[in-house]
Amino acid sequence: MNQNDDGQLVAQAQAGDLPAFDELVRRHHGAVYCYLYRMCRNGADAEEMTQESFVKAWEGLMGFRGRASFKTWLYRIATNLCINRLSRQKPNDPLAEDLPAARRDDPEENFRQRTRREYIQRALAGLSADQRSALVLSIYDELSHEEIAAAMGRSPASVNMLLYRARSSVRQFLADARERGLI
Amino acid sequence: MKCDDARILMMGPADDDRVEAARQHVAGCAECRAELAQIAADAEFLRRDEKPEIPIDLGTRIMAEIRQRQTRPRPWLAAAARAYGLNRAALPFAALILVAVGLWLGAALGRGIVGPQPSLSERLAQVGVELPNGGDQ
Repeated sequence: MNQNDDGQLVAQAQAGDLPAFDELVRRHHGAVYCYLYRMCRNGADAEEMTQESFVKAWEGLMGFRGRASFKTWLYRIATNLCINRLSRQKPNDPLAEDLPAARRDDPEENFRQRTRREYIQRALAGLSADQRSALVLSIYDELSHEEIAAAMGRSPASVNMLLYRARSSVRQFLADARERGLI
Repeated sequence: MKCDDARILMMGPADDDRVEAARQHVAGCAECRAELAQIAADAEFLRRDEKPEIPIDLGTRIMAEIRQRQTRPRPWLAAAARAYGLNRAALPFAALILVAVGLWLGAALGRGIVGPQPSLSERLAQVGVELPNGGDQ
């Protein structure tokens, strides 16, 4: 994916060219959906927030000055939406994951896969929303440190701190699970 | 450097000036090395999580929603229309009338319906204050 191409499409979309924005949606909706899914572990919520993120992006496109890439700007919108929504939930609400049906015929592999997902879900559920956001953007979306800072509206130093706290908490959680022979 | 500070710095980009000091700390601290190695291994464990399945028509639905919102009147405009019993076709005319009234009012004020405001020295003179130089500066 070429950032320059995005820039051209953004300029066209800012001039009211809806098909250009359609192309931006086509390019980025999958990544935004996966990010939001990993944040909330709920397909319906992730879908709704993905849709809302793009609607907000379209409505606020004139305010996009291109200081960050379009993708980072989109992640910023999605992050704000998601953190606002998660902050309204009760602190101890578990992430209610709707696990997809097993895809393989190998029951042992299915079991391993399901256990792994469950522990990843629990490990992420133990994090605050902004710790989870930093970790997901770093591990799954492979955003650079600067991009994570821009997407979260944080300083790079604060992203370091969030990442360390998040990784440390995950390490602790998984160490306990390993000690008990669960993974 | 304290262990926590070094570990936090090691989370950031390698070109941070202070990372070299953190590296030196970690090189001499077995506890930090073990912690960071485990953190890296756990990141690999998390990475093995399967990619969520993207709903097949999500992009189409996003664009349909955007197109629908474009044709929908703004909520405040729709509320105003309902309040005054206007249908949507009449809204541009109502807006035009409002602009015309605004322009007329602006022109009328400019012609002096309200009248020119007295200067500060005139207002002070009305209450009996005499200015040393005889007027506004």
